[in-house]
Amino acid sequence: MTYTLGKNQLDSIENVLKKDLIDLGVQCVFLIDMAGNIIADLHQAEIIHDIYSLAALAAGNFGAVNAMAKIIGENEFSLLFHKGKNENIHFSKVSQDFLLITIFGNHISLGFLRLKVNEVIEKVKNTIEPS
Amino acid sequence: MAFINQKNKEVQVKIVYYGPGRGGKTTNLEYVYKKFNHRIKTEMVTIKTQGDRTLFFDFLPFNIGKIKGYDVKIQLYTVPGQVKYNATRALVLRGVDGIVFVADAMTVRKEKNILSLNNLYENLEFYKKDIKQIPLVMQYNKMDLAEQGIPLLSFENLEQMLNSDIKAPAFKASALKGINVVQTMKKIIYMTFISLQKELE
Amino acid sequence: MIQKKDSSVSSEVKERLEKLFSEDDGADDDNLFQEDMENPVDSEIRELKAVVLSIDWEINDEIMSGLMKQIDALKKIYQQDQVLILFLQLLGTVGKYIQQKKAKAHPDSIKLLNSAYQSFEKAVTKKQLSEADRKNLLKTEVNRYKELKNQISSQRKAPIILTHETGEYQREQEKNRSESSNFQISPELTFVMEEIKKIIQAEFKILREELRS
Repeated sequence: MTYTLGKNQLDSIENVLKKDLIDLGVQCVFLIDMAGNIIADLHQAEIIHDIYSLAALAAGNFGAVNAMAKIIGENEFSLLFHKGKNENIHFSKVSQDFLLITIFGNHISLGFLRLKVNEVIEKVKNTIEPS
Repeated sequence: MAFINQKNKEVQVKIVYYGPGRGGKTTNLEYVYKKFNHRIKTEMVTIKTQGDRTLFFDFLPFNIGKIKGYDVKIQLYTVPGQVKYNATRALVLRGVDGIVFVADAMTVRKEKNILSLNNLYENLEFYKKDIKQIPLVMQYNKMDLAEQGIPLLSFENLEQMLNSDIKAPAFKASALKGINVVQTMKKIIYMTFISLQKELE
Repeated sequence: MIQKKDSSVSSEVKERLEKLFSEDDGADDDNLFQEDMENPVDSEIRELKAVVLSIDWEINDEIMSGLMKQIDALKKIYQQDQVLILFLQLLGTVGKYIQQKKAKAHPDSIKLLNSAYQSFEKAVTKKQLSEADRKNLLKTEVNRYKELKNQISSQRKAPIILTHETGEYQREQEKNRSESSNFQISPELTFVMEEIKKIIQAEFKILREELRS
């Protein structure tokens, strides 16, 4: 089983991510599926991360935390966020199959980022459902 | 679930090495990583316990170059084999495109192989996947132990026990010595890619 | 002999205890105590602090309404204190902006809310601050506010890039119009600016009189 995303869809997604998150000052944003595949990834010019490992780990992490939620009787957690000294990482479910991961510094408040991410998800959701 | 990116002309494929604990799944990946690191130039991620047992998963991504105009990125994963990590195995299996079942050829591990295969079958069912429909290769590992006089199950025995219904291609192997490790990997990549081919046309 | 020994041991212990736990620094301890009493967050503003901290984690209507409610309540309590009232008005203006704009708010507005709150808390809790110091704290925040306002205005004045989708262009225009009406003409802002001007003028008057005498 496979799914495909065309150039227009991906352009549209990347546009939204750039305008609403990268231009805000977010260090890195990537959209992945729950298998760990990378749909789109954008970052500030000077940032180079091992994006493939990050994606695999993010999918695994989200999956693990989701499984924990079910065990304790929750459908899912509304906030999955890891706070670092300088950089932080935020996970947000786009749909059943996709995740948006944002890496951002302390100059952006989490509360504000969550607002932006929710907006981005609304914009991206309809573009992204696999055929 | 392989992802085809028409913008970057890229295909991402997920292959999972499954099997009982201490059967050689991680060793397979470590061998590939060591042998081809100069060519594939990507890092391997391992999350394991202090006792060197896979805790979450191992991960090795690499690009095999252009096929039919598409850059093909292979992502190899292993699952933790210990029985208690079933929840982790289930989530690593999510979106899998091809599977290598690494069986432990040691006679004393006979039961563990069967339990693990049944477990794979159940986890695939959860994702509404049929074990007979998904690209799968059997690897009967630790064949090198015969030299040390350790009782091993024969190839025929293993085939009859594990593969009589599925009828997947099978290799005798030694992950430690690198025997048939690459062949197993090439076979599963090939089979997985063939099954995706229609989508690329 | 034993008694003597005992008494010498006990005196050694006594001496040791005195050394370790002497209360000669009683005065300093008292000072520490006082400082603690001065700096803890007054119970009156504790709720406001909690709301401002929670904004760091989440911004939604409920939380922002809670912020406005706290600000209104504190305005009643501090109605005699001009500086604090102005602080609260500033916080209210910024809070209202964030509440209205949400994801479209300028990211620095959150920073301003936090810094304005920090300064407000100092003005409330640090009893040893002079009136001049308090006014300076307020002035700093008002300046930050002015800077933010300028940033927002300059963003609006930037040439609008025509996209090939005219719908998007039209939306940009509407957005710019509504932004200007939400931020620039807010009566609270005008009031705050006027009050600051009055304070500055009053200070200059006092300074001139002092120079004359």
